[in-house]
Amino acid sequence: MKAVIEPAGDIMRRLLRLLRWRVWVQEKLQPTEWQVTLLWAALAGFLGALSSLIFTALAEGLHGLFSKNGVGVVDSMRALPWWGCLLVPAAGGACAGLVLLVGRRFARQQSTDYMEAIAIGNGRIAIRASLVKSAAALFSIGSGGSIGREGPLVQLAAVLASWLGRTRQFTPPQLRLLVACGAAAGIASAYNAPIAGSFFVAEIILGTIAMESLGPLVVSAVVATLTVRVLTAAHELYHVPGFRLNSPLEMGPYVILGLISGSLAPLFLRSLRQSEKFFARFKLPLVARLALGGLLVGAIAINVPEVAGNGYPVVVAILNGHLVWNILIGIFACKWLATMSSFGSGAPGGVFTPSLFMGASVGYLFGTAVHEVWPVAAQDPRAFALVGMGAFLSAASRAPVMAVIMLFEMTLSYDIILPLMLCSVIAYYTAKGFQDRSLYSEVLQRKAAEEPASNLFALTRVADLMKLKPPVVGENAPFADIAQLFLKERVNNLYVIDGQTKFLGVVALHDIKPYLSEPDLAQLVIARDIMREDFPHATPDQPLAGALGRFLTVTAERLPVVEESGVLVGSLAKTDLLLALVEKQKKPVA
Amino acid sequence: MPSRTGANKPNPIKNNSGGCALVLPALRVAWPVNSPSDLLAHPDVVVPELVAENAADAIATLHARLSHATSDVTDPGGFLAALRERARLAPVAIAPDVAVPHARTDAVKRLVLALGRSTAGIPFDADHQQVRLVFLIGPPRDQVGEYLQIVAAIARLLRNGALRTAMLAAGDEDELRALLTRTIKVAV
Repeated sequence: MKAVIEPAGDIMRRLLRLLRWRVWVQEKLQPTEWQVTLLWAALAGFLGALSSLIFTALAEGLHGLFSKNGVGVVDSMRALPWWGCLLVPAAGGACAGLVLLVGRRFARQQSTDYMEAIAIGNGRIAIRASLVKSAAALFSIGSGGSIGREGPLVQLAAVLASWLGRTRQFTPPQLRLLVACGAAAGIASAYNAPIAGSFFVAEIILGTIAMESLGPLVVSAVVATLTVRVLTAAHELYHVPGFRLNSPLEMGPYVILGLISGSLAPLFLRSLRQSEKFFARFKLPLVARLALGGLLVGAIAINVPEVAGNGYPVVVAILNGHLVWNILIGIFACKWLATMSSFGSGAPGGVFTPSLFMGASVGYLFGTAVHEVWPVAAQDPRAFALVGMGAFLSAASRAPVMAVIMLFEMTLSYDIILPLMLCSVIAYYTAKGFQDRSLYSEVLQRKAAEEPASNLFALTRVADLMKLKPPVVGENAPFADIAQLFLKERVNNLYVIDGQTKFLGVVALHDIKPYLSEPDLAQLVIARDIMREDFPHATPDQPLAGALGRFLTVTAERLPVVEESGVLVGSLAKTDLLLALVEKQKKPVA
Repeated sequence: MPSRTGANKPNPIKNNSGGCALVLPALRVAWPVNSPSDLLAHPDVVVPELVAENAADAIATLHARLSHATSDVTDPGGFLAALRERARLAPVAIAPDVAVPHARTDAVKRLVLALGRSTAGIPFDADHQQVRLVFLIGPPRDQVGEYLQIVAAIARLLRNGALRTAMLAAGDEDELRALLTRTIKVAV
């Protein structure tokens, strides 16, 4: 091999000086892989917040097209004539259907579900299919469909995070975590609720609150919330008067409310599923089905404009006591029907906020009823509405912790925390007793049944976690090449290979660190002079526990992965291994 | 921390010979070598007048002398082959008139060093036609730190212009050795 002679001149000196800097930075700041993970989580949070804001602005802009003025969905429905009420949601549904249809040409029909990607997939979400779905959601939301907008928001944020991780070639565990961070950012920015965002993803999707995953989730949620607060004048979502537990006697009715909510929530979910089956029976084409769903909503909205949209303004009205109970019963029933028809016709969107509405109505109605009979036990029905929201959400999503935290964050009402917590827990157990399936496990169980092959628990070998194409040098590489590679890659050890990519040894930055001021040395040394051959390595078929054992023998963040034949195939990071072990221990999704 | 023998100063508590070396520096010559700097001060072999036509010749001569001088070269044939191979792969000269042929090998029990001087100059390769000082180093395979240390020490030494001139001007082996001993002690 013809050796390249590098004179101990300016180039070498500059190179060595750069490398000295890098070593100095590394020692003083010691950025570990974890800190880098947190940085990426922060970036995912920022992007997620931006996407949420853009989506919301677009939805509102679209709604502005349908209605002449910039008022809420309910008000604009109220202002429309009867044919307008019918036409607008139907047209919106039809447009959504068209978008989905056209989108099928451009994007393959793949699963876009972020929950699936995180929980049982490898973190890859189809980008074009997701964008198509989000665009369709814009139409169904903007035209007043009785569906929530948080579903598409979270989806978009998750997709962005997935794209980000894929461009940097993250390994599957890292990518899954990054997508989870994106989802947390989506929820946090949608509801201005960072705690709820991070805990929702941790509790429901990842199934663990181990710090390995919770840390990045928190960072992402915080950055997202900060971004939203800086860019818009955001405040808590539901501005409510201060509620208090007025007397211990109130706990009795609250317990009953928990039982009621826990019974109603599964009923509500089942009704949505039945509605889906109902619509499917007619075998309508997609556009017609969505238009029909919109038409039904519009028909109801002629008389009861409050059913349009996700229900947010109505919930605010309930919480502030602006609705009388007899009117509310009507709205409650109609909204249930409207949500069934929107959801059943397949309108893309979420059911989170509609669930909140259901809970608020049930709570308020119950509170009013108790107040009539026994005033001291239910002094403020509005407080019951708030607690009802939490209980219903807890029962529907099977995440009581998240429900409590989210209600608190959305209303900043702490004094009501005692009944809120109790009710949420009672509702959870009640709903679980009725049926073992929640709003979200539906999705996952169906998908898992369809694709039994993609099972997380098959991820037990090193080969599934390793990163391909680790930074390598040839055994005769001159010191200049080694130094440059150390500068380019943020690793502490370079792997030395021969002509047939057989692993020979490791060049450690630690070894050459004291000699970075010696350009003469740099002239002489090549990789095989300074490589260490006794560096531990893992094999691709090794189980994770064995690989962990190898890490104990050396203080390195990564190990080379070498086949039996001696060929170097990849590198395994200690943090990936720990993440995978945490994932293996998580409880299955409820 | 595995596989790293005490690289810098000998630990006075753990290393027996090191402890004594700290206490009785004057007798260091007779005691076992504790660090690469010690080795540089007392090379296994010093050849004041190295006669060779080219790099291969110079390496072979020094290698032969080294193998005879110390029993720590357990496989002379293997050692020579490794040296030749390494010299073939990449240049071993670090200055216009200094060459450091070396090879990591299992053929030695410890780090070995041979120094050869040629007043006439030996052509090592295209860019180094007048090599006057040749340091032959044989580090055991796992002593990466020690190898780097001794090469760095050699490089530092040779930056000292006065020493270099003195080395080239020295009369015989004893003078050369004395020069090295004196200088290394001062430097370290």
